Amino acid sequence: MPVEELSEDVLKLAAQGDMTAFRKIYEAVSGFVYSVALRMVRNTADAQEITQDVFLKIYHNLKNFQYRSSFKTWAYQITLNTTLNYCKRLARERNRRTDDSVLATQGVSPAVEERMEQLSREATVQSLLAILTPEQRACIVLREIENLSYEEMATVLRLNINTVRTRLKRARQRLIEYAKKGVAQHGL
Amino acid sequence: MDCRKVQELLIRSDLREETDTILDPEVQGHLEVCPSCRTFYKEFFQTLVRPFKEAGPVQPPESVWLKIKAAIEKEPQKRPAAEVLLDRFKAAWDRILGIMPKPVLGGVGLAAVFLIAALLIYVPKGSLNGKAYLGDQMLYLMGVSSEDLEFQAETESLGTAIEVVFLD
Repeated sequence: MPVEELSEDVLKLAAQGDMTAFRKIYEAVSGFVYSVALRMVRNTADAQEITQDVFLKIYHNLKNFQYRSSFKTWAYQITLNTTLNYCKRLARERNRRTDDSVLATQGVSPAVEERMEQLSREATVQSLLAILTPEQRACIVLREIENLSYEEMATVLRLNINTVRTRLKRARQRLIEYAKKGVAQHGL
Repeated sequence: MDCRKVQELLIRSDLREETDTILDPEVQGHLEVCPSCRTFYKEFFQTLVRPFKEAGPVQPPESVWLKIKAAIEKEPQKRPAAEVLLDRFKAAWDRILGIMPKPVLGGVGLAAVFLIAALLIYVPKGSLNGKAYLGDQMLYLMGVSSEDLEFQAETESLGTAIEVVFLD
């Protein structure tokens, strides 16, 4: 079920502790929560931990959710805040795990060739995102992968729309410079 | 339009397909005549548009949901504060009942009732008497002092001859 189709009744039931309703929310938003987390931290174990944190926050704060605003934007906000805080904590700890498990939970494809292509594409994305700062990465993930509008990005990131544009432009410039140097070899 | 300006505009643009028409006709015109900017445009698309566009959807494994569900179920059920307080009071009362035998508890309770009653009956009464006493004492003292002054005025004559001469 797409997140836009989640009814207010489902959200209210989940806020009252109904696990069936909460499962519906999970099914609607876990894709983008996990996707954003994985692209930001580039590690499945960390991405799974972030996803758990995000859903526990959603569960505990659903009763405070203002139904006037978009649930999708609210969920993105929680995801981005949790992920960026996680990134900061990782940077402080300097205890990064290896990225070899990045693709362990990708959608399974029956054809090995297709799977290899998928791995290659994902590796390219990961190598590109790796050169960006967490803030720039967030902009690229939201804009280029999740297709959020500038207005939505400004709300989610709690930034001025011009700041969003500037960050996005700098991130793109950095990626182009990186590509020009010929460092990225994965299908560029 | 110079190459720098064109490349800046390309970076700011939101292309989704390589064949997308660039909205600015000036940029479009420049690309048709400038090989350098055409290369830049191709690089831009290859680097920034295609990989992200092709990035497949990612779903978390089912174990993530199971962990979330387990964490929620492990949490104590949230109840109203008054209910929690009442339960605590009941638990404390049960503990007291468990420690003290019922006859002892009854005696202690009776003694407590007598003590409270005595305090209510006697202490306010005594304190009222005390206040009245203090008030009387104050009035008495005030009266004494004024009488004393009058008395002094009347009786302080030493009755000497010189006083008789001057005062009479």
